[in-house]
Amino acid sequence: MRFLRWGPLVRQVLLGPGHPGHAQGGGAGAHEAYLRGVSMRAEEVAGKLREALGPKALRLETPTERRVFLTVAVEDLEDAVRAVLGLSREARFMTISAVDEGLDLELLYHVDVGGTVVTVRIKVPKEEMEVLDISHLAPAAEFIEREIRDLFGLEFVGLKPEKLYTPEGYEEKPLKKPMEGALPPQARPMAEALMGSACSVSVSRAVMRKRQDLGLPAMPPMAMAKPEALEEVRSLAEEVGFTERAGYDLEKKRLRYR
Amino acid sequence: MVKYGVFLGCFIPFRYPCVEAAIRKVLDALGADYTILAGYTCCPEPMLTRLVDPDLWLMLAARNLALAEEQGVEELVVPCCGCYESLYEAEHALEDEEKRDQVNQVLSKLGHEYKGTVRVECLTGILYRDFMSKLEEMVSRPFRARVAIHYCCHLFRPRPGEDIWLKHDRSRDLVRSMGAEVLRYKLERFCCGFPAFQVDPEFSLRERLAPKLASMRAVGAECVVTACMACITQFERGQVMLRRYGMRYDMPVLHPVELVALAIGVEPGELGLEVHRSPVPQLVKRIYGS
Repeated sequence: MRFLRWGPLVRQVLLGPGHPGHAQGGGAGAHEAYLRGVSMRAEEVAGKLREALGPKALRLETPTERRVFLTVAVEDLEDAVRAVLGLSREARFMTISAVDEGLDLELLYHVDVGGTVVTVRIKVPKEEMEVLDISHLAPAAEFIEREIRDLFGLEFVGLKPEKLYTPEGYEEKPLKKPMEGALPPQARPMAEALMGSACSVSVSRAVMRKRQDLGLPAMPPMAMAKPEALEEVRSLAEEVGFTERAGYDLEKKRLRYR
Repeated sequence: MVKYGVFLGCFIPFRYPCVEAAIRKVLDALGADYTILAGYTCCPEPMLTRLVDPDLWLMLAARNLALAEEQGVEELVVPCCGCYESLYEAEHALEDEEKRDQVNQVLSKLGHEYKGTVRVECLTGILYRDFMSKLEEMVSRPFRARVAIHYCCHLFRPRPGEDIWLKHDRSRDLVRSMGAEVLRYKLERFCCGFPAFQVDPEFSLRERLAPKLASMRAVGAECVVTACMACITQFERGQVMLRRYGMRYDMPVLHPVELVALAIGVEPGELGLEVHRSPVPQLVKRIYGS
């Protein structure tokens, strides 16, 4: 009967402080009444998160009454998790899901807030593969973070170095996919040429000389002759979502993969 | 307003300036009211771009059409069949008002609007429709050669109610009226293999290009004429590559407008025909002796 001594503590962890546990004669009706008292619907949660995070909340979705998805930038992860855990005394960290999307690793931090599941979504570019450890906010995150590190190779800054899943000396990352985007190899040179010069072929000086020899202007009146026209092309590509779908880096002016 | 706006595309100015020179000289000689479209982008290329990202394809094509309208063009004249397909398909897609509104919402952020007033036409079609009798009068040095025309697949884009062979018949009649003998070689509808080259070069060369060239040679063709820049590239580059399989054809390949320019008296030296990777200068020398 030793475990009976742990009863109050177990009840507090599982049911939350202030819960009228069955052992105290509350019964099932009391449990439902308790949940009604502490629970928050998705819209209310979303409203509070919008207020707490402001522009850091890049997207807030409430597909059902008990589900909230919050998308933030990688650098705002800590603020977002802190805001979600701060929604209620009963907020409980559940787990992290990791999804390898080819170019990015998507991390989904699931938190139960009085019966409504809030998921904080971030995308870590595979070029970086580093994100902040949140175990100082939710100690239970340590296990899943170590698991993700072992299986995907993602580094959690501040996490203790011991492996959880794979044996020492085993450095493979079994769930990590190759760095690949949506474009098939045959389409990649075309996409880069189109985004780089708005033209599907390369331009050589020899051709420009030949053009002049024929009495033609060295450069035809294409978009590539005008920097502002080239910017227009890149804006259009961004506007229709091509740069994101194809994994084109507008700053480096190339695809993120070869 | 200007009657014709010429959409040069990418291959013509940067791979085949000889075709651009021929276009300008022919239109100048005809006294056509034309301008070269300015600020344009790749059409965009109708195979990979449209298959990989139809939204980007339609947006860039719509921008090109909008530029033509802004520059006061009535008809956008397209010398390359690939560009023609891309721009014509976009024109057709944008007849749908809802789609046009969606595209214009994005274009308007950059100060453009596509109203749907410009009409896309291929160059050979324009030369036949508007200038045929004048061209026949202008022929001073007939292009006396046996010609196999490759009717590019992209040109099979009839307007509603139009005969699917209309553009091809016009190309054939145009070439014939320049003094050439147009041969039938049975594989007219056979693709040259350019799209397949992107995924399987050997199949493209041995199973598409080689049979086509063989049937052309079998009927005694002295050259290939085609209005598609991708097909010209396939015929020229492909012939060089077929040598590694022990096949040699040495078949000159020309754009119809080059043939027209030569027939109406433009000097071969003014066209820069040596940029071709097939023996076009040798053919021209044989016909004209210079």
